[in-house]
This record gives sequence, C-alpha cells and structure tokens, in this order.
Amino acid sequence: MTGDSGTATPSASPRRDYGELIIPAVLVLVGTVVIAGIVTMDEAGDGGLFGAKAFPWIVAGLCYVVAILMAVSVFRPTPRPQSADPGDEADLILDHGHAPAEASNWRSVVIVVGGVLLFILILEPIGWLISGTLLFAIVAVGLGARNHIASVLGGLGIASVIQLAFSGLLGIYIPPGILG
Amino acid sequence: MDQLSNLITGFGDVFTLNNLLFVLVGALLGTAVGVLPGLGSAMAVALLLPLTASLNPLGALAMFAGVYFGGLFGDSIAGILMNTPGNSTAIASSLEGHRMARSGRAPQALATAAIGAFLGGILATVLVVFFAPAMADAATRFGPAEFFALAVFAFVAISTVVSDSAVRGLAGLAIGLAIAMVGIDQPTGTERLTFGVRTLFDGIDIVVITVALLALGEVIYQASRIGRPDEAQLLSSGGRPFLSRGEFRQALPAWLRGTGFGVPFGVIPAGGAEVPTFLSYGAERTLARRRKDSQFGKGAIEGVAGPEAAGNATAGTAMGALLALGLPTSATAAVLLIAFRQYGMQPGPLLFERNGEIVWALLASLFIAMVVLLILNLPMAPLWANLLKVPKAYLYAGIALLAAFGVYVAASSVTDLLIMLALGLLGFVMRRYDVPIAPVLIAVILGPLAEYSLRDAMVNSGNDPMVLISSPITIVLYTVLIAGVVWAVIRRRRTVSADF
Repeated sequence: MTGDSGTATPSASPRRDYGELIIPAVLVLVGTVVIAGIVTMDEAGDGGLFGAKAFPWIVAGLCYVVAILMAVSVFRPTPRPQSADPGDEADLILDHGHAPAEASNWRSVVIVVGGVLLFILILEPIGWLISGTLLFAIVAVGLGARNHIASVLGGLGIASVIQLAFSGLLGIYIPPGILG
Repeated sequence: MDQLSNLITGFGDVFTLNNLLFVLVGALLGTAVGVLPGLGSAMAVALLLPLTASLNPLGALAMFAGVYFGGLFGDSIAGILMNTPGNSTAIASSLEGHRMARSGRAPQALATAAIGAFLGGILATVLVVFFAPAMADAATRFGPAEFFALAVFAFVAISTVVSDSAVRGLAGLAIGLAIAMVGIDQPTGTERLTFGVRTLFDGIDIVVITVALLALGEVIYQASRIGRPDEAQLLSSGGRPFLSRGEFRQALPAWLRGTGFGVPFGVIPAGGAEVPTFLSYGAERTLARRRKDSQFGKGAIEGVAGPEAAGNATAGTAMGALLALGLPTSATAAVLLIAFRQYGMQPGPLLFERNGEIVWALLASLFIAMVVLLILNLPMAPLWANLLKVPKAYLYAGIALLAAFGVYVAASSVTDLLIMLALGLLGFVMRRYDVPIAPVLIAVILGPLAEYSLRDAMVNSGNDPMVLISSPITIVLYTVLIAGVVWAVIRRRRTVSADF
C-alpha cells in the first residue's frame, strides 16, 4: 500500500502514498450518492430556493472539492517541514503530526472484519451466546491471541455475563437462537 | 448568588449512595481508558450509551462526566512511566514527564500531573458555575442567523484551525454532513438519501455512528497494526510520592498558566485539549529559556504542570459550552451531547430552564468527581500502570463484543449492525490516513442545526443573505472565526519557512 518515494532529499522526503487515495475515493462516492439522492428525491411541495435539496447540493459540492484537493496533495506531496527547533518533539507533533501511514497487517484486518460480518449473519438465527462467543474469539485471534481455547472461554464468559445482566436483570431482548 | 444556592441544591441531589456510586464508577472507568493507549473517554462513553439507556439520567450523566475528566487524569500516567501517552492530550505533558521519570523523579511527575489536572478542572468548573447561566441566558435570544453562525464557526474551527491539515478536517466534515442528512427532512417531510430503505427513514442512529467510528474503527485499526515492535518499558515509580514545598512553588504558576490556556479552548470547537496542552508546553519552554536556570529538556516540573492543568481546564469549560450553548467542542463533548438527547434533554440555552435540577446536580457531581479522581490518582498512579499488562487482544475483543451488543440492543436491528460495520471500516480508513474523527461527529450533531437555521433565516427574510451577518452576535462570531483562520495560516506558514 505504501507508495514509492519520489524524491531524493532524505531529510524531508515527501513520500507518495497512493493508498491514501481511498479517502478522496470515499468522498467522491459520498458526493455521488448524495447527488443520486437529490435527483431521485420526491420533494413534497415547493421548497423554495432553500428547500430540502439545497443543503445536499452544498454538501455534495464540498465532497467533490475536498476530494480534488486531497487527490492533488497525494500526487504532489509537500515536503515535510522540519522543526524550527531541532530535537524538540513538541513542534514536530503539533505542527506537522501527519506521519505517512505504515504498512498494515491486512490478514488481521480481514479476520476482524470477517468476525464482525459472521456475527451479523448468525446473531438472529443462532443466538447471542454462540455468536457473541465467536465474535470475541475471532477478534482476539485477529489481534494476535495465541491461546484459542482461552479466547473461546473468555468470549463465552463475557457473552454470558452480558446475557445475564441485560436479559436477566434489565429484561432487554437478546436473540436466544438455537439455545432458546 | 443564585448560582451558589442552585449548586448547593445540586450537591443535595447527587449525594445519594446510588449517584455517588455512578460517579465513582465513572472516575474508575475514565482513568482506566485514559491509561490505556488507544482507548479514550469518547469511545468509553459511546460504548456505554446503548447500555445505559434505561438508567436514571442523573446517575448516567454523572458517570459519563467522571469518564470525561478521568480520561484526562489517567492519560499522563502511561506517558510519564512508559513514554506512551494514553491519549493525544497527554503528549505534551509526557515530554518532560517521561524525562522526569527517567531521572528517578517519576512520583513527583505523577503527582504534578494529578494535582494539575485537579486544579485545572476545578477552576474551570467554578467559572462554568458562575458564567454558564449568563451565557445560556444570552443565547436564549439567538435566532436562526445566530445558530447558523455558531454551527459554521464550529465546522470551520474543528476542521481547519486545529487539525494539522485543513483538507483532512474538511473531509471528515463533509462525510459527517452527508451522514446527518439521511432520513426524513423535518420541515418538508421529504425522504432524503434513504433510497426507499424503511429503516433509514428516521436517519442513521447517532449512537450507531459514534460506536462504529470510535470503537469498531479503533479495533480494526489496532488489528492492522499487529506485529509492530512494542518497545515501551515501564519505569519504576517508587519513592516519595509527594511534592516538596520547593517543587510545589515551582509548579503552581505553571498550573495556573496552564489553566489560563485551557479555559478559552473549552468554548472553541477545537477538537479538545490537544492544542491548549501544546500551547501551554510551548509557553513554559519559552519562559524557562528566558530564566536560563531551568531543567527544561531534562525533566522540568513546569513542563508537566502546565499542559495537565490546560487539558482539564479545557474539559471543564467544554462542559459549560455544551450545557449553555449546546455546542460540543470535542469528540467526547459530542458524545456527551448525544447522551443528553438519549434522555430526552437538549443541551443549549433552554436546558438550564427546562432541566435546571439535573444540570446543577451534574455540575455538583463534577466537583465530586474531581476530588474522587485526585484521590484515585495521587497515591495510586503506579497501580493504574498495571492495567497496561492486560493483553491487547482480549481488551479489543471485549470492545468489539460490547460495540456489537450495544448497537444491536438499541433497536434490535441487524441493519444497524451492517451500518456499524460499514462506518467502522470508514473509521479505520480515516485513522490510517490521519483524517480526524471529531469533525464527523460535530458535523453529524450540528449539521441539522446548521441546515434548518439557514433555511429558517432564508425563508424569514425572503432569501436575503445579508440577514446572516446583520446582528452583533453573528458579526462577532464571523470576525473571531476569520481571525482564527488567519492565525492558523500564519502559524503554519511560519513553521514551514523557518527551515528554508
């Protein structure tokens, strides 16, 4: 994900990180969805100049403008300025704290996101206790827990406590699923 | 003195075993999330929101306030002892604090931080008690143009003046404004951005948004960083835990100056305590250089005292801005505002009139929370550091479980869970590429206010844009805003040109 470094000055090398383009991409997507929403909008009555559609237009415009500005800054990164007071971390953090993103552990991300997705899919059919236990165990494994049995038992413990406290004491509905 | 009698009544309301217990729990929880890097008080309150919907409002709000201040007490502990600040608000105080710890003065650094947090918080809360009612009273005369100016002020301040890149702040703002528009448009009853999905008619639940961005986003972000070397090392903090008279005399002016930096920033939507803590650190450094006999760079007590006091002073006046104006000035304040709404209260000019009892009881609980926090932190700071031994994997697994549970039980809706996953991924991407989260939350909360007051102002005046800048309050707000933007631009330019 981390891009190539385009320049030679080692002290203040502006690194191009094309992965960063995902933010402008999200903005373009949001702006487009907003415009799609405006076009398909069934406005009740005549809203006048400032009806239900005016503000969405402003926001959509803002999305596109910011997306363009951000994309430009990804392709033409400004050199990272150095502190006026070398060796003092405070200036560095306050004035240009934006450090280039480092490589991500995508395997862990996929495991965690997959765990949440699985939880969403099985929560109502299978029930809270099992799906909650699995969610805890999968996220723990994704975050580097090595002892799988401890992860499952820990998940079961916390899921049971939540079930007892909220369903038992407060009477909040929790999907029982196949155990109910 | 109306305020004093109200406050005393407030103390009377809080002094029940039940409420005091909530304050204590909040203080404990806040210190804990403050100590743990990655966890913050905003995330903690967001996770608690769906779980506390059925509690009594005063107890829950007092607990949340305890979490807010507790986070600012606890954040410096790990920073001082391990050089891993628990939150960005503790970066400034950790610089000198960790140097003090390395030279064997860890207990003094921790005590300076705890007392500083206490003093800053108490002084700011006293100011709130005396001035917030007047501020709310003035704000009752706000019309649509004033509310629009206030919202614009908040938007620009949070996204441009403070974050290190205005474009990134605006990116967060744009996303938040778009999310806020989903649902039925109140004045016209028009469906907006729902694309026919019935569950979206009421909009995206703000609790789902906060839990997803603050909690699930952080869990995924932590997962993406698994495998990084973790070199932090806990320094011993044994020895005399209290300050000598000389140290106290050295720290006192710094505490007071720090409070001075923190107080105004609580009212400015500047994303919290980060900026004032650094301003205070910078001021202490400059003063130390002028004196020439300072220990700055080797562990100066003023470098810890100033920023810590500034952080909690900001939190104190932020409560004031939240209660009196309905203006959230940081992510945590934004989540607190959502908590008020959850209990059917709307922070703002009318809150003191409509829910005066709860407001004064809440203010009273802040004083109690501060004392509890001082007791919890002053002698026991080293104990809190043991929390850092909790395995990260189980910690974040627990957070993911609580987040998923809370989002589901709020409306028994699987759609909400899917929205949470999508926004959680968004939160992860934003964290990874340094796009601040606070502007999203501020935009989600103040977006509708901005839109409806703009539309009201336009309809009332027959689409005359001049009505937006015709009252003294709006002129003052826009003037301050322009001055702030100019200041931010000059400051940034100066640091850039300094090296060429």
